[in-house]
Amino acid sequence: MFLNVLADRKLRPAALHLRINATDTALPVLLGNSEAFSGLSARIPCVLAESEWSGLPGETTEALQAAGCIVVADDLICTIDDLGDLPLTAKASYLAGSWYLRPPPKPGNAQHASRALALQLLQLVAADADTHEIEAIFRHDPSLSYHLLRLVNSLNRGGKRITSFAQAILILGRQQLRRWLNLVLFAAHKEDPRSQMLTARVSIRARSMELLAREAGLDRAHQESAFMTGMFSLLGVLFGMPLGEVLKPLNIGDDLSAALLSMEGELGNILAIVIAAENADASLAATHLARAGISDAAFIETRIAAIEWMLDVVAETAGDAHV
Amino acid sequence: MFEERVAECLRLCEQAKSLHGVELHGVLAEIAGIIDGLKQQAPDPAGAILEVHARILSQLHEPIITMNIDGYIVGWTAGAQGLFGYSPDEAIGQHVLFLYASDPDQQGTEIPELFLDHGGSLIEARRRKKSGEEFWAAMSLSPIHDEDGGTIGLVAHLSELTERMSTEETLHLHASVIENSDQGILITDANEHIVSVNSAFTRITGYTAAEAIGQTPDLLRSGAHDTSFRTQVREAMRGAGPWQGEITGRRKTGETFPQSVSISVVRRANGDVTHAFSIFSDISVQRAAEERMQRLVNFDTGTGLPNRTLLTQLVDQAITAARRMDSHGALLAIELERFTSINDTLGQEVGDELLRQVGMRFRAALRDEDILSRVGGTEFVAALLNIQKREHSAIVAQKLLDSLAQPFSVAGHGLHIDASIGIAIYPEDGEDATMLIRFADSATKRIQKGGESGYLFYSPEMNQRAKEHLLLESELRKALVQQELLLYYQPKVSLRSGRIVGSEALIRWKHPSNGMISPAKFIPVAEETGLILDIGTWVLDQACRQVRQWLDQGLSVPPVAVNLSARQFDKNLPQRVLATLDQHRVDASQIKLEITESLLVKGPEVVIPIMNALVASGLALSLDDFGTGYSSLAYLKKFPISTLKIDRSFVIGVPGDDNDCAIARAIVTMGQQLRQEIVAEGVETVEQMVFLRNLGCDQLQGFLFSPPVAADDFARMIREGQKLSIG
Repeated sequence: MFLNVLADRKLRPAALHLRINATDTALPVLLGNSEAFSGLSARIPCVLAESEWSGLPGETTEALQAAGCIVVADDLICTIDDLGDLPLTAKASYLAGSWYLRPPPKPGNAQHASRALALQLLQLVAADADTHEIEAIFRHDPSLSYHLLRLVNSLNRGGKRITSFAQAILILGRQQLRRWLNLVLFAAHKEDPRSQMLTARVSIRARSMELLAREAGLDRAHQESAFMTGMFSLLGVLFGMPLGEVLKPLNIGDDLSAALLSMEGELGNILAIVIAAENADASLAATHLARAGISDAAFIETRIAAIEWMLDVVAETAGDAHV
Repeated sequence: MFEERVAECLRLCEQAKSLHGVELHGVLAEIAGIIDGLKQQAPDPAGAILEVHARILSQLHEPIITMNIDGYIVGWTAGAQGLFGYSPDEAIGQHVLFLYASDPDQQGTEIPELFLDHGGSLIEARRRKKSGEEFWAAMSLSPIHDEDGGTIGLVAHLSELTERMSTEETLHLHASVIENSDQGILITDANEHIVSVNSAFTRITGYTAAEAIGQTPDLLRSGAHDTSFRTQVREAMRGAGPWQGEITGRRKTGETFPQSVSISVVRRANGDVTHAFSIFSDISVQRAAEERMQRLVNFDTGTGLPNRTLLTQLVDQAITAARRMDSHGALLAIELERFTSINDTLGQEVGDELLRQVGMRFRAALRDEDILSRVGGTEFVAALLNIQKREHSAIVAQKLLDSLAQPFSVAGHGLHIDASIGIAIYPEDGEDATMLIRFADSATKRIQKGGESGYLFYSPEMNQRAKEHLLLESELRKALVQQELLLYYQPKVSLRSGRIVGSEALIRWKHPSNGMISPAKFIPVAEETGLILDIGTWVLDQACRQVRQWLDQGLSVPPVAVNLSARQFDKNLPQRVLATLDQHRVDASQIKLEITESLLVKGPEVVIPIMNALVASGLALSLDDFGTGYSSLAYLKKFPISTLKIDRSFVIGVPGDDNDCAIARAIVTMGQQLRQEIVAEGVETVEQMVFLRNLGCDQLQGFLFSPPVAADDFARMIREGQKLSIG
C-alpha cells in the first residue's frame, strides 16, 4: 500500500490517495491493527477512487472502511502534470500528478527561503532558545537549511565537513545567525505556487528516510544524514537547476553525495525506497526494502509517521501566505 | 530571443558543413560568440545583470562591493581591496558577513542592507579588515533591479571613518569615568560650594548628590584636625598646588572615618581657579587591619611567621568551622634535623638566616589559605585547614620535604638540611589545637627514633592507607610509561537490526605481578592525583591509533566512544582532541566522546561552550550515567548531546522493579523529545533487552551481547558480522 498526497484546488495538501495492490492479502490484517493509520485518517481524508475500490477483494475493502478510508468518484481526482493544464473541470476537487515537480516559473526567486520560518527563527534566536529548537525549524525548510550550509561553508573555508544542522548552527554562532536571518527576511520571495506541495513531498521524504535509517539499524549520525539526503534530494526541482550544481557549494559527505547524485550506498538505497513509494512501484520498493532489511509492516509505520510529521510542518508553514 | 539565437546557431552550423580553412574558422568563432552570450544569459539572468554591474564598477578606485540578493559578493573593486586587504579572488563568492566585525554590543541585530526597506541608504557600521583590524565604515547602499523591477542585488560604497568621537561623546565618556570611579569625587566651584559628586561619594559618606550640592566641604568636617592643617587643605583648594594626605572625615551617620585624599584645581586660561576637585578613598578597613596587626604580638620575630599562640587560636577557630561544615584538616609538625650542629659550628646568625629561608620555602610550598607557624627553635607547624581527603596531607608533607632538597646558600655556605614531619588529622585524631600539635609531635618523635627522616601519620590506620595510595600512584605512573595499560572494546548493538553500530573503549591495567586491576580501584586514585589527565590523553591517543590501524587493515569499524574525565574538560580540550585526531588521520565522525554528569560541578557556563566547540568540530557527545547524578532537565536541553545512556543501575531493575521501569521510561521519552539516541548499558538478560527495545531504546551494550573484549577480538566480531539475535 502506498499513500500519496493530493492537493486541493488552492494547491494545498488536502488528502491522501491510497494506492493498493489487490493481491496484498496481509494488508487488511495490518490496517485493522494499526492505530497509527486510524489516527492519520482522522486528521486527513484518505481516499480511493471508485474504479480502484471495485477491483479490491471484499476483505480488503472492509478493512479499509473500518480504518476510515473514503471512496470518491473517479472524476473527483484529476491528474495534471503541468500547471498549464489548469483550469480544472468543475468537478475535480483533488489534484494528483507531478505538476509541482516542474521547473519554477522564475528560477532565481525559487531559491529564497520562507519568510514565515525566517521570522520564527529570528524570534527563537532573540529569545536565546536552545540549539535543538533552532535546529527543528531548519528541519522544516529545505531552502533555509540549504542556505545555512552554504553560508557556513563560505565563512568556514577549509574547515570541517558539516554533518548536522546543530553543528552548522554552532559554527555560525548566534550573532551571525541573527544577522543572516535579517538578510533572509529581506530577500524572502513571493509564494511559488508549487511550494506547499513541494514542502509536503520533501517533508515526507526527509522524515521517512530518517525513520527508515533507524529501522535499518543505522546510528544517530546516519539517521541525520538520511534526513538531509531526503531534504536535499528535491533541491534541484525546487530551484529549477541540476542537483549536482546546487550541491556544489555545500561541503557534504561522500555518502550523502553518492546517495543524492547516483542513489548509491545505504542512504541511496533508502532514497530509492522512498522514490519507489512515491511512484507506487511495489516491486521496486520491495527489492530495496529487502536490501535494507526492513519489513513491510515497519515500512508502512514509518510512512504514516512521516505523513503525520509533514502535516505538522505544513500547518506551521501555512502562515507564509499572510506575511 | 533565446530561440532566435539558437536558430541562428543552427543556420551557421549548416553553413559550416560546406566550408574549409579560414572561412570555417570565421563561422565557428561566430557560433562560439553566440553560445557564449547565451551561456551568460540563460541559466541565471540575475547573475548576468550583476556581473555587468560588477564589471563596470571594478574600474573605479573607490571601495565598492557588489552583492547578490543572498549577500554573496559578486564584485570587488581595487578600492575595496585597498580598504579591506582581500584580493578579488579572496572576496568574490564569500558571504558579506565575513566582513562584519565581531563585537557583539556594537551592532546588535542590524544588517545594514535592511535599511533599504526604510528608505535610508547612508549607514555607519563596524567592519573588519583582513588584518583583523576593525573600523567604522560609512556606507551608502543602492539596490540593483532587473527588468521587472525586482531587487536582485546591492551595491555598497564604503569609506573608512577615522575621527569617530565627537566632543559630545568625549564629554559623555569623561562623565561616565567620573561617575563609575570607585573613589569618591567631590568638585567645588570658586566659592567653595559643592557642584558635583559621584556615586562613590554617596556610598562612602552617606550623603546623596542632592544633599551635598550647594554645601561646602565642611559638610564632612570631623573636628579632628587643628586650624593649621585645615588652612593647608583650604590653600590647596584655592590653587596653592596639589595636595595629598589623610583627612579624618565624618559620615552622614556621624561616624568618623580616615580617608586618603588628593586635591587639585582647574584653572581658566588667565590662571583663575574655577573649580577644585578632591578624590578620596575610605581607608578605614585597612586602618583597622593595621591596628589589629599592631595589637597582635603573635608573630615570630626571626621568620615573621605566626607563633604558637596565634597558631592555636587560628586552628581552634578552624576546627569549630570544620565541625560545622563536616570537613577535614591536618596539622603537620615539622622538626628540622641537624640544625643544632649548623648553629654550633657556623654561629647563630647563620642559623637564624637559614631558618628564615626554610620558612620562605615552606611558605611557598603551601596554599595561601594554609597556615605556617614557627612554634619552637627548630620546629615549624603547617596547618592545612581544609583538605578534601585526609591522604592529601601526605602529598603536602612530601612537598615540604622536597622543598628542602636544594641546598640553602647562607653567608657563602651551601647548607643542606633535612626534616621529619608528623601528621595529625582533625577531627579524627583530636578536636583541639594543643592536643593535635602534641600528637603530631609524637609522630615526629617516632620517625626520629627510627633514625630516619620523612613523614608519618599519628594514626596507624592512616599510615596504612597513605602507603597503599602512594604505592598505587607510583605503580600507575610506571604503568603509563611501561605500557601496562590497554583498551578493551565493548560493542554496542542496534536494537533494530542487531548489528554492531559502535563500541566503548574501556581501560584495563595489566599489572605485571598482580594481574588485571579493576579501573574502579585505580581511576579514583588517578582522579585524585591528577594522573587522570595523562591517562585520558593516553586513552584518546590509543583509541585513535587503534581506529587508524583497523582502517589500514581495511576494516570498516563503527565509531569508538572514549570516556572523558571532568578534569580533562578545559577550554583547550577541543584543540587537543582535534590535534590527536589529525595526528592519526582519524575523522571526527569515527570517535564519540562520553561525558558524565559530574562535569556539571564546573558550572554550565564553563562546560557548555566547550561542548559546543566539540560538536562544532564534528564530534558527537554522549552523556553517560544519566539519571544518577544531579543534572536537571533544564541543563539537558542546553547540552548539545546526541546520545543518552541509561545507567546500568536502572537497567538491572527492569522489567521487574516498577521504579526502575518508570525511570527508564522517563529517560527514553525525554531523549526522544530531544531527538537523542538512547543506549542502555549493562544489559544482561533477554527480558531486559525486550523491555528496553519496546520502550524505544536504540542500542544496547552489555554482557547479553558481549563483555568488553580485546581489540583483536572486537575486530574479529566486526569481520564476522556478529549480530545480536533480536527475536
